[in-house]
Amino acid sequence: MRTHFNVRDGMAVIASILVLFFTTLPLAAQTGQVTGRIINSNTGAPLSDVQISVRIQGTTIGTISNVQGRYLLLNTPLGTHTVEVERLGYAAQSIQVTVTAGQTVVANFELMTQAINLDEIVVTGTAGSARRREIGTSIGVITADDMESMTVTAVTDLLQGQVAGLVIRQMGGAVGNGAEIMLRGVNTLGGPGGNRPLIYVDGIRIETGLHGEPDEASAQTTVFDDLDANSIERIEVIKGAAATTLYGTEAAGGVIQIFTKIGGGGAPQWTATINQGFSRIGHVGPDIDPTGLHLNDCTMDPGCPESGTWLKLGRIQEYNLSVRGGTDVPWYFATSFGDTQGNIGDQGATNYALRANFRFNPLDNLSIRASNMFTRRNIIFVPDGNNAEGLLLNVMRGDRDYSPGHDDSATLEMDLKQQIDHFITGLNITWTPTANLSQRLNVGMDYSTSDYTEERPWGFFFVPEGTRENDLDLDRNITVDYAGTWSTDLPFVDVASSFSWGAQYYDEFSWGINGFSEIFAGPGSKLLQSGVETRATEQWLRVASGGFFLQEQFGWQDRLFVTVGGRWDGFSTFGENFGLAFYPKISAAFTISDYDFWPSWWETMKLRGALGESGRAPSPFASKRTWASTSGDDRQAAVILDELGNDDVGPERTREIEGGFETSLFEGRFSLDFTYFTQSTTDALLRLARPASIGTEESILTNLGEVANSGYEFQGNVHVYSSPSLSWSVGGNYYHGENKVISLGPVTDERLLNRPVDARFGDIVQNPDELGVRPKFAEEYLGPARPTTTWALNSRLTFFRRLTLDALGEFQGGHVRQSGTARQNVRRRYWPTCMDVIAAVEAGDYSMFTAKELGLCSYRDASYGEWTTLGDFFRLRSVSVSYRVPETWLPAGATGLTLRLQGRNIWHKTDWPGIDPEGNSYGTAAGWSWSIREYYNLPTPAVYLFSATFNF
Amino acid sequence: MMRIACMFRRGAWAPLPVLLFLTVGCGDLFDIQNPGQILDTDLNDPALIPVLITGLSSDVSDFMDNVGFAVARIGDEMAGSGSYGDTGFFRVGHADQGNVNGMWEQAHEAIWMAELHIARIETLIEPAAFASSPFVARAYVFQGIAHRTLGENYCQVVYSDPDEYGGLQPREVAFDSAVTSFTNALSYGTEFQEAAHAGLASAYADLGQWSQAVSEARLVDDDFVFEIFYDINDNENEIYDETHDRHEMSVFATFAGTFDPADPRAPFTKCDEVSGCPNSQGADGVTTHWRQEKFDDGGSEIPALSGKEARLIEAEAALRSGDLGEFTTQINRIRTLYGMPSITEPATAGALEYPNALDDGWSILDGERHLTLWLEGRRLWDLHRWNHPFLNGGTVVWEGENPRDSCMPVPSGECRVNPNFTCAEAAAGTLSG
Repeated sequence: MRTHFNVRDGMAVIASILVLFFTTLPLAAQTGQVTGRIINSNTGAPLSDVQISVRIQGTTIGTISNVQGRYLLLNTPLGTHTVEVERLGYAAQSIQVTVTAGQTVVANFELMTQAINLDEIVVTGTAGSARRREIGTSIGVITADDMESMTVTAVTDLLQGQVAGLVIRQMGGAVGNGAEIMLRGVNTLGGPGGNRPLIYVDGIRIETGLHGEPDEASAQTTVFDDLDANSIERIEVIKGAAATTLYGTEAAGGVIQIFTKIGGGGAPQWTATINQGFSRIGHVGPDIDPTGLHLNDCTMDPGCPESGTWLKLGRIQEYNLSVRGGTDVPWYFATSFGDTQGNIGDQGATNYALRANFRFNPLDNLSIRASNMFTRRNIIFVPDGNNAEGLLLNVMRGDRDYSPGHDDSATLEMDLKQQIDHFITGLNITWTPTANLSQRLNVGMDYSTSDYTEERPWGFFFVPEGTRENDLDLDRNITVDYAGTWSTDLPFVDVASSFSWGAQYYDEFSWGINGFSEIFAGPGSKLLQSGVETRATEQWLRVASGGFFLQEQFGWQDRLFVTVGGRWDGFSTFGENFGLAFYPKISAAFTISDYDFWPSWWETMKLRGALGESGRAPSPFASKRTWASTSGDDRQAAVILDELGNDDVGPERTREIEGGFETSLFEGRFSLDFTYFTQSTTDALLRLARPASIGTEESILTNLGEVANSGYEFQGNVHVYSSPSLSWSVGGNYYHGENKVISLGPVTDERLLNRPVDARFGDIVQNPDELGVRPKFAEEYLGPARPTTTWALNSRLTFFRRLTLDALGEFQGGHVRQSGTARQNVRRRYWPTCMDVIAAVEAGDYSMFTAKELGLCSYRDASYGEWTTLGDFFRLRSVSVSYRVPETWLPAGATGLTLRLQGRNIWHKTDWPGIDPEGNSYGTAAGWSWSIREYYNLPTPAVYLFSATFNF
Repeated sequence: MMRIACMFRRGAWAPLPVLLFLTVGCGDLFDIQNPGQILDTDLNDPALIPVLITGLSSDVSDFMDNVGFAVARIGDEMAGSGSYGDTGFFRVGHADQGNVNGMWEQAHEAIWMAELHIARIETLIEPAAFASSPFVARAYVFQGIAHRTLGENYCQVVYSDPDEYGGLQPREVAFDSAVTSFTNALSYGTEFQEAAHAGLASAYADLGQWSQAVSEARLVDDDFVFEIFYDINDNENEIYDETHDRHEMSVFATFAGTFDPADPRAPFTKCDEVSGCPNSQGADGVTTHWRQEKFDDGGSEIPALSGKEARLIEAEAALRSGDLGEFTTQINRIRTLYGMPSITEPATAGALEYPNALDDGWSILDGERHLTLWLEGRRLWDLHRWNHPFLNGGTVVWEGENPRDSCMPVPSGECRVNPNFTCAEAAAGTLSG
């Protein structure tokens, strides 16, 4: 019904526009036109979506630039006017023009990027929309121009190294594997899942979890990777509770909001991008091993591919086509197809994406935007990670493997596939009935399915009779989000008031069926019923949450803004005795540079500070004692304890105080954003560890813990040099944060106190220097499992506004990381740097080695703790060279062509002794520290891409 | 189910916009819906008593195969040929505190569940029905097995209430509790009388009260067996899984592995010599995989109480009293059950030895108990109570510690949160100590 209404009204609008167009034609002779082109002052690249406006006697006429950066203002009244242009991420500019009857005036603009623009509009973490100068918290914004210099194949490519405090941890090098995203480190005891930021796409909250559990692939496919990166217009990131208060329970891990493109600019403008390239895994393991743990060179091994190596180049091809246009009804359609082959076997993924966005105004004060996305991903995995049937585990262990006759190709007979479908639809309705009152309503649905199948064919070496497993998972989430704002000037000098209110409802439904079948009669393709033994399980869960907020913002002279507010939340999973959760906030932003005394060369200085709270919800049924169905006594119905229950359980509460400044100097050539934050999570949800001797291994979820987390962030940018022939800019960010457990309730494992939540412990040699003596071990604290310090540097050099060289490097460190691969290989007497120790132990004479060396390299003694060491690394995330082909070289009809060569993850430096300083065997599904380890997972490959982007 | 309206009533001070939300919040909008869960109150139905006790059976199943798997590797039953973290410790005879949490938790849960279910049953049925309820009797048998197995394998025990945590106690406390549970089982109906007697026989033997043990053992038929159930669907026998689906432990280089053909009580397949095994070497990539066949299916049951054990108890009691004739008679009753030839009466009681030459009373008893109770989680207790010479650096493929652990320490999960003792105290008498 709603669609019918939209279409009808849309048609009415188009008809009205046509009528208006023809009835106003006679007036054209009384007006003139303003036209021009807008480009990036450094790169010369045309800038689309620039808002061009001319204010004339209280009214404004305007338009936006198209993909060639061109604009045309028709029917501009005669006279001298100021043409103003604005675009997110650029310094605004204006030019005076004189319009004469029937003539066209040309006004071209060259906009300079401006990292800090206090008048840019942001919407994440605010009640409605707000200018940056009004916001008392840090906000990270990634614009389309930040994406300009890179070829993106995943949304995480856009985020990696771009925002201080946003840390992305890759889960592994296998195609389809996602990444863990964390903002400002760890501030909960609730495991990695509890620390994930909320993700919104065009105002609609989407699932933040994982798609199923491809366990034999040791892979984690994330919802985040379903999003088509090429359709993204900008991303806003708010990182802590001080900024996320209005999002309430579940927002303590921060919020990432993604905005997709919308049309405009008049006539249809097409953009086609072709990416061709490959991924490559270099030498694996210690350099002294020419075989690269038998992966690079397997010529001596049974089952080795004809190429003599298990590794191959993984072909990558992607095709994106989008079209945008419209004036009164802007629209944007995009489609893409990608085929990414992996570096081993049949590993690979194909992606299809469709997007349709449009906006129309049925009334002058009513705007409706519809956004729709559908993606399908088909992924083929190879068995990987901690998997006795996995290829890497068997190959890397050499002869100490599980494969029959050491023919590891047998592992590739396991068939692992996943199909993911994802649909997001949403309406953003904005109604501004008066100049003082604005309201918005976001309504939408996020719907995804994952179909994962895992088949060991009949005759498979590990299970000769064969098995088949099918996991079908469905997630459906509904968002209803309303907010209103009443703005007025108070009867005080220069004080403006903005009062906001709003309410949100979020309904989360998940359903899953797992079917398992084993013992097949013979070869051939199988279904679940093909096995002699079959079984099935089903999960079904719906949880709802709702809340409302009130906020008042006072602004004084457009310089000082004080905001106070609060949010009240109800949640299905709160205990019977808990009631509503309340989260307050207060913030202030003060633009001191607006004062006359402030030096003119230091054009922007904003001080800000904020205090706010947010929370995390307990898990479903944490408040109830529940029992789970099972079977016993040879398939008789049975119940076993599932959850002990706690009537008083409520959300945990994170209070954050943050302060900092945003400044820019020398006409935006230097900018810096600094933030210090300190978070305290109280009532932290934890499974109260009690002695099992009370009679149960089940723990009670309680609000007893306390976690402290603090740190600081820098984000800066320098335009080192700028001229038409050469421009050079350097950007970077730095983050350092540390967390520690303050309390774990009345019964405490003392080891964990005052240590990071993700503390890693391990057995360390206590007699390290003793020669010829076997090591004595004791458990020691080793360090946090996740990076505590990250920094990134980006350099962009442009010649003659056409040729751009861009490089981005990222450091992650301050954490420890375990090489389970090395330790397990040592236990099997095969790790290249340990062979001398191994030989000595085998010969029974290890008198020349210290206990420390034995603890690391003796197959009898090697401990995981000794293989858990500082995980610092620096990685060249991206190096690219782009060339914008002169328009005169282009064929008729083409308006732009950009060619780019890019290398991603092509070099890294680390002292960590394992294979790859990134990539993890368990992804984010496991606990805090256990998940950070290498265990026979594929290392991160280098990616080389050539891309061509046509505009026509 | 909790409703948002209830929460709003408690937060009545909340501002006006609540009213807007209340209109939406009433009804089922904020209910959690999760059909798979059963609320505690829903179990207050007499018809569900069998379901409760079957659940208890499932809890005990979780416990017993884990014990069987761990004990086999810590002791001398199997070679730890796998790659698990605990295997690295267990196979050299080190029952590390960090690796023995699961069994401790499962034992205590079984004990508590029995108590919980019995208390619930008492509220659900008439007193007369309760007094003769076979479900209550079965629950007590399960509880007794959990107590006994806990005591046999952990060096010390701890029993706590939610409001008052207990301290370290000698393992005899667990055996006493087992006696209490099995004795209680005798009071409820007739269905589990033999199981209760078999349990009492082993608990009294564990306490060294041999005359009572023999009295109870004599009430148990040779072919009686009380099994712990496994099923490939929900509760697969882990020993099967770890030796057939995987290859985490091997008969290679063990006492059972010296028999060719295999002793019928300890059957195995030499995977390096015959086809039909997926792997000829263990998961450690080194050890030859000889696959146990006692549990040859994921649904193979594990005996917990049996007539054969009762005979072994009688045989040991006879040996201790110097009656080698009676000893031989009881041993041969077991062998007859398996269709095996009888042994002749040994010349002397002799002493335990490692390796075992089966040449006198004690070494024969050692071998017979080893093979008869193979992989049932009983061997570590025998090694401990006999101070078996294997404990002095004995080796099953992997060079062992000297001395090896003969029992498991109170685990880290208990000692770290129980303020009544330190982890060092909890590990007393073991390599972790």
